[in-house]
Amino acid sequence: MLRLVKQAGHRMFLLADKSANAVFGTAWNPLYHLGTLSFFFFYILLITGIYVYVFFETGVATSYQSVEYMTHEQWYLGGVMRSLHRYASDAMLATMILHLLRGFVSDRYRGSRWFSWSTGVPMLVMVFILGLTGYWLVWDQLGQFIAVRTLEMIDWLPIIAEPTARNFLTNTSVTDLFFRLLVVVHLGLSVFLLAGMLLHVNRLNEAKINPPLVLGSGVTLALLVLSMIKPALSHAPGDLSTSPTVLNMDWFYMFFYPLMDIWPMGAVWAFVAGGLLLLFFLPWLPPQKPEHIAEVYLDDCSGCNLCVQDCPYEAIRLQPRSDGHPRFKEEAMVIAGNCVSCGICAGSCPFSTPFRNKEELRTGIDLPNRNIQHLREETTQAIAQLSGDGKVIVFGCDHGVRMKGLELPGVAAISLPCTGALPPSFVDFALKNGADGVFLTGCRMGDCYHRPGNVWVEQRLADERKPQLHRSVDRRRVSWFWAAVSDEKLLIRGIEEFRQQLPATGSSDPAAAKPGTANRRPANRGQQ
Amino acid sequence: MKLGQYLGQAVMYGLFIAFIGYFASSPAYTFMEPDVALVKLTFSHAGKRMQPCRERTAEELAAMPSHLRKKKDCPRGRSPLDVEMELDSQLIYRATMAPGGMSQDLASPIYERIRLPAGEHRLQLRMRDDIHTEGFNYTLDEIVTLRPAQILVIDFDSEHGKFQLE
Repeated sequence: MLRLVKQAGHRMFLLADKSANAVFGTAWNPLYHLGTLSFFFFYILLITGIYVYVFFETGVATSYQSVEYMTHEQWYLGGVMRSLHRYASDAMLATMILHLLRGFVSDRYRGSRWFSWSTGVPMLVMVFILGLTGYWLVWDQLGQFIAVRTLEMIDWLPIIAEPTARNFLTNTSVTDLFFRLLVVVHLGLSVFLLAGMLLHVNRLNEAKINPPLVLGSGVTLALLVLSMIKPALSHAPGDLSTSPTVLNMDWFYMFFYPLMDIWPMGAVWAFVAGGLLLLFFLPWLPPQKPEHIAEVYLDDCSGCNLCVQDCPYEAIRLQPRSDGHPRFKEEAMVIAGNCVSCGICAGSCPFSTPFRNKEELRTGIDLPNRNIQHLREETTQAIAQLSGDGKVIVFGCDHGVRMKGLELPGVAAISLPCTGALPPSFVDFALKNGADGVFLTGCRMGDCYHRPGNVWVEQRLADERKPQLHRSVDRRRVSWFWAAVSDEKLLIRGIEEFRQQLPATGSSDPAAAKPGTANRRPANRGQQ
Repeated sequence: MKLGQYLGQAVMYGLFIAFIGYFASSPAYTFMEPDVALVKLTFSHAGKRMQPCRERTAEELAAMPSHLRKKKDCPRGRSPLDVEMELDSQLIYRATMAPGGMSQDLASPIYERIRLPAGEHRLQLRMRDDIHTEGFNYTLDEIVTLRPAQILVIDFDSEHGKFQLE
């Protein structure tokens, strides 16, 4: 059941990706930058928050007045800043939720990924508290509603002896001191949130925390336009002798408040706290089966650091040599808890070459279940089963288009845990052993299941990253297309076109063999 | 990039701000109908002791460690509170509030929100804070006029032993 829900959700995201890619292009597709957009909205919140705080006068009577001053008297800047502050907070929550949903439906939250997932849940709570205290501080009828209903909810817990909501019974019972405390909570928590955000990406290698400039500018401009055409406004001032009746509620943050009117408070707590607990422990419900952790083979490890640089999950470190090797001072060491079995380390190892004349082919670091020995055998067998002209080997991944569907006449497909796990020398190997062309595919650029896998592949082919594709390889015989699962037809068309354009066997073009001569290419498609 | 893509982006950004702008304040939520008032019956009052204090005998004091010798023995348990509220002679609220604390020696907190139609009403309150007493030992009988959306707080002044309307 859960699997079906995830599959349906994943398909919806892929459909949305398709539309967004058509409009924004892959590089600027906001759906590929949900996490970085959340960071970006936080930056807007910080800047606008500082401005608003300068004019904000903390106190029961003064809070509302100072916000009203900004909104109406200083509408051209203070009002815009206030509106941006509100809308950026809504946008941040929206992108966080979408980021979370995307991670869930694409199964990027279990196993070693639990850390990023589980650190994200407390951040979600912090964002809610920040949002609600922000509304509370305005001390209008909405702030009053949040104050009283939140405290009534807290009072339901049996650990509270005296109802805290009694502090908000009458106008005289609310103090300026409380508002000062609330400001401290609001400001202090934003610092904790920033720390949490950095912790959230701590385990990711080369984590991106900023969206592309164009996208950042686009959303800022959009929020600015929204702030101009629909400025954030307050309700009537808070008055504890009168109950709010109709509220223009911010549903992003306050969706659970109406539940207090229709459900018993215990049920609301079960929904909110139970939901959060469920989210937090989701990576273990059910736990992912133990993965095949990458292994280091010291005979072939020189401690070159390439696998450390390429591992997206910071699962590899260098440590002092344990075998007393006379030349190499360090060796790779796998942090089992961080390894997700993507195999990118094997793709990055300079020893991962199928040309080595060893009975049992080994490399410095590899997956025990899908090692380069298997890959060499698979490649050799795949080429052997092809006949005629235009024999193409497709290397793809387990998370993109289904590889079996690509086995067309003259085409054999091999799937890897990630295309980034393919050592570039295998391209050379395939061409030298009978293939006329090698076609690479994998997840959509920007949405790689193993984050930078396809980026690493492109850079290795373009001689921008070690290990590079050998200079002698005829680049006309190598192409790639990064495709979402829904792009199967496009991918097949791309492979067919590539086959038709392959130069005749034996023809050579020295310029085409020169690395780094590729033209600027579309983000998902290229040929060297 | 083609013109169509720029237009598409404008549409997408437009949808984005429409989504954010709409749900940031809409749809409106009716928390309370405008012709309704809210009564908050809330106070924190400690009931009388379940058992009265008694003087310890000389023998009892002698048997106790010197630093714990207090002349009076006061069992900690407090009476629960029985509270009733009638509106226009109709019973609308009745509760027995247990004392707080592990030893049931703290005040009994009460916090109830009751929505009532606005207008003039006869409000009667009764409370008993001693299980040894027959009937209620604190009462209030008052005509109140509730304006729409008014919050009427019913508190209890423990020091003077009387209900208060605010």
